[in-house]
Amino acid sequence: MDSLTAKSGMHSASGKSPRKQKPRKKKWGIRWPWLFIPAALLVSIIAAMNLLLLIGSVASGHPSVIMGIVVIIFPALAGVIFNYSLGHKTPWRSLLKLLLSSIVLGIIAWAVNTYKS
Amino acid sequence: MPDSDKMTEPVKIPKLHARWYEAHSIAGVFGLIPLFVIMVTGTITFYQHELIAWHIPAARVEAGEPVVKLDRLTADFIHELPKEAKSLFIEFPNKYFPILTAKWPSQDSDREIVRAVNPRTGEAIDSNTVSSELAHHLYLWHFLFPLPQGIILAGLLSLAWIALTVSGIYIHRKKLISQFTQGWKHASDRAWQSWLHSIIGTLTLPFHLIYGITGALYGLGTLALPLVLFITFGGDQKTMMENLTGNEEPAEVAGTTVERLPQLDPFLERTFAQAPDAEIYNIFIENPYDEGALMHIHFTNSEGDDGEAKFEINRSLEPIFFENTLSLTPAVKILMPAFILHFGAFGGIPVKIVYTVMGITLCLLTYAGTRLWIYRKQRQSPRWSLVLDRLFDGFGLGLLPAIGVYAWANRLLPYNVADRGHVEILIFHWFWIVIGLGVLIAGTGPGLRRWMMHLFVGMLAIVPIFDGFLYDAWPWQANSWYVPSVGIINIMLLAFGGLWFGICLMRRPSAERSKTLEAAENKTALDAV
Repeated sequence: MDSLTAKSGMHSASGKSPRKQKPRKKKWGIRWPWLFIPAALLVSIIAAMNLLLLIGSVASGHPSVIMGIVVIIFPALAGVIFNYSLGHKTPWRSLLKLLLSSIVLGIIAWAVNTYKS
Repeated sequence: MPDSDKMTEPVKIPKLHARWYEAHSIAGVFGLIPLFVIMVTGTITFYQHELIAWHIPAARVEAGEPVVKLDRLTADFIHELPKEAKSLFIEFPNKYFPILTAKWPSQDSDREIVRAVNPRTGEAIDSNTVSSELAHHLYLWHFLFPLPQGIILAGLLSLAWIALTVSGIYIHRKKLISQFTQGWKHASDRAWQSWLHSIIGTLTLPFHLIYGITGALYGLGTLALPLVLFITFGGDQKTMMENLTGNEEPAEVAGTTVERLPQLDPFLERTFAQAPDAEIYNIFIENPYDEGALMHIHFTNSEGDDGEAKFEINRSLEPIFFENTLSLTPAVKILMPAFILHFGAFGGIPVKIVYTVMGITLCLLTYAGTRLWIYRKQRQSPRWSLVLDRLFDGFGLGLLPAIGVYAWANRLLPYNVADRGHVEILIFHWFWIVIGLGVLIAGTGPGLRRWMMHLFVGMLAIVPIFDGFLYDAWPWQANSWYVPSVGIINIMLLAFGGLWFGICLMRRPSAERSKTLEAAENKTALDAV
């Protein structure tokens, strides 16, 4: 069997049956990575902000201390969330979940703040 | 439906290791070029202060006693200060820059008017002589400030860096130790780059976390401030700023203009009366000709802490505020360690040397990471691989010879060129863009990369020779050591240049190897396209 017939799966001139074609595996990968990375960065920043918004709303203490802690925790937290979305089994779905949950967190934080004031 | 689709198996999700390998690769390639720029400029600007006197070769001034009288030195130019000037900033000489400078905003442009004086003799120094901003400009590039929203981009890159570190640790978790025993020799360049990448990445692990987290704090910290404003200060911006920087009230404009500025020496004497060991490092006057003009005298006390005295110079000689040791707000106390850690501003020169070594290795890490991505994608996406190869070599590695050109422009431009410091920056940027576009169009290879490194090292090594011929300041002459950092930098540049080219000459047979490599690389690129 020549290489052409072998590749195409056709019967060769000798009349022998062709080799059984193996099913092709679809490769896993992050779809549209060029869009995913900026989107993941943005969502992780929003998520970290909303989480800190909630923590800051319920925390008590000197305002300056809260400010320092919020500012210093913010980048590390955003980095962790970014990592989470990158390593997730379904990266785009994880972003959507993160975005929705951060909106919920933001609404709760807003409610807490309104109640406090 | 085509047969091929019927034959396709459902997507099998790989294990976390494989997913993070993919994520590490994608997140890496997203920011490799700007990260390389950040690392190169960051490594150089550890020595920002030491470089200040080096990049003003025409103004070799011997350091003198600390300045305690000011009026004698400012007499020649203080009358040039316009009555509408919003501020006057006087920087006192220090061990890195033994020249007194005064700056105020220009009335008809966004530039500053600068006047410089030799504090020992009282002679004026041409402001064009001290106009170079080499060290400061590279420092700005460290934060990508010259790009639109560059600081935010730098912050986002730092976030990506955190992700790269965590995924990198996970990918190599099983061979963190064993990789060190594999040896230096590898069958292919790809295997060598892979080994180098993981070895350097492991050795510099703590620095990834330090730079990643503190870098993101620098870049994205400002994004968190509106949030803080909302949750802790109920939207009161003024109170928030007081809690962040202390009680810094801007001067109230009285609206009445005085005829002439008062003598400044009595205010200095008043400050020294209250803090005898004070060493003043700068003076800032808000609305100098307004009746309510407020002068801030910033000084270092005998214990090395910062202090401040404030005077309403057109009203009274008595300070309205005096603090020998400025108290920091809790927010600043929390944030300060992050800033100190980022710049290695503790422990003096030994710590700076450790940071420099780490900085150089991080540049290598980025380079090796890029090469790996290029090799990995050469078959799957040959065009992207080719584009990244050229982009990285043009705009990433191209920065190195561009810095060499910047240093040459700093030495060779005539002093009668108006706005000399800005022309230097223009030359630097244009050369960088030209080399970037040139490589993008014409292509690259190991030979070009080697030449760019030769250019970078060679051009910097020639700068001390320029100093000798053009400014009569050879490294062995006393005027090179007025500010010791100038002499040390010049000797190091000469020594490093000699070492570099010496090693290159000794390793000459390996040129054959790189030719083979280049041929192989070109063939792969051609095959791919």
